[in-house]
Amino acid sequence: MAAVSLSGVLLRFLLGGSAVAASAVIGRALGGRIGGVFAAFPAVYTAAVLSATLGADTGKARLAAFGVSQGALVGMSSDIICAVAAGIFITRYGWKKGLCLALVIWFVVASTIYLAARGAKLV
Amino acid sequence: MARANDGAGKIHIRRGAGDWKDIGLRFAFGGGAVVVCYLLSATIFSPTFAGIFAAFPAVMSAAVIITGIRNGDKDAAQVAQGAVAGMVGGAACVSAALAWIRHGGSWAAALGFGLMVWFACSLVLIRLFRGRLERKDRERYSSSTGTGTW
Repeated sequence: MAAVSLSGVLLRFLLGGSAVAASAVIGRALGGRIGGVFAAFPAVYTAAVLSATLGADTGKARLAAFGVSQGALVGMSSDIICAVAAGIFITRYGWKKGLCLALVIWFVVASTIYLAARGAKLV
Repeated sequence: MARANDGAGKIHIRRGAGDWKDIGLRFAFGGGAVVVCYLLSATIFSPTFAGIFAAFPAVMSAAVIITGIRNGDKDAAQVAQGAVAGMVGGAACVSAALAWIRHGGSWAAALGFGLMVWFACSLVLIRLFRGRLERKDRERYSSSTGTGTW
């Protein structure tokens, strides 16, 4: 089990909350799809990098940022597929059923990619 | 919220108290969703499942849920469609940050560069596909009364 820090919680709350709020504000001004871009702001990645690097010395911080980035790249491919599925299924079945189906697809794809990446020693 | 064109092409948005409450609710919901995922992935017993769960699309899910509740299926679908461009931009962001670090740059500059790449890439993609998506919207919503039910 990984350590949970207060700064980690605060960073994630602020960045995640800002991304969702910005998505709504920008969506109202410029259209839902532009707002949706901000719903995919890499808030979790940014928070993970900041949590891993703040307070660490330069060398360790670079290594930590590199490690977080490698893991994030593996995860983001399943997120893209999830978003594509959500766009299609929400249009077809409504937001509740559509999002549930998209998240099931996310889990299947993410598990496959993660296990394959672990097998190839990428994470 | 009132939106008015001032005749010079500038759009002014006047927000009422209800809008700030709505934005606050979205902020709290989105932030809370990300924190819950963080706590779950940090406390899950299985390292494998924790690793998979660390990439859970919490922000997109929160945005879709709150938009679906407040604005309905059509707006929620648009958020998800826009999120595709944002997620591709996210992958570009991380790739750019990795390249920056590999070439000896600092982590802070790498993160800043990566976020600029995210912004540029996402906006280019959404502009490329917006026309096609809007055409599909016109076909869909001019002839149907709804987008489906649970």
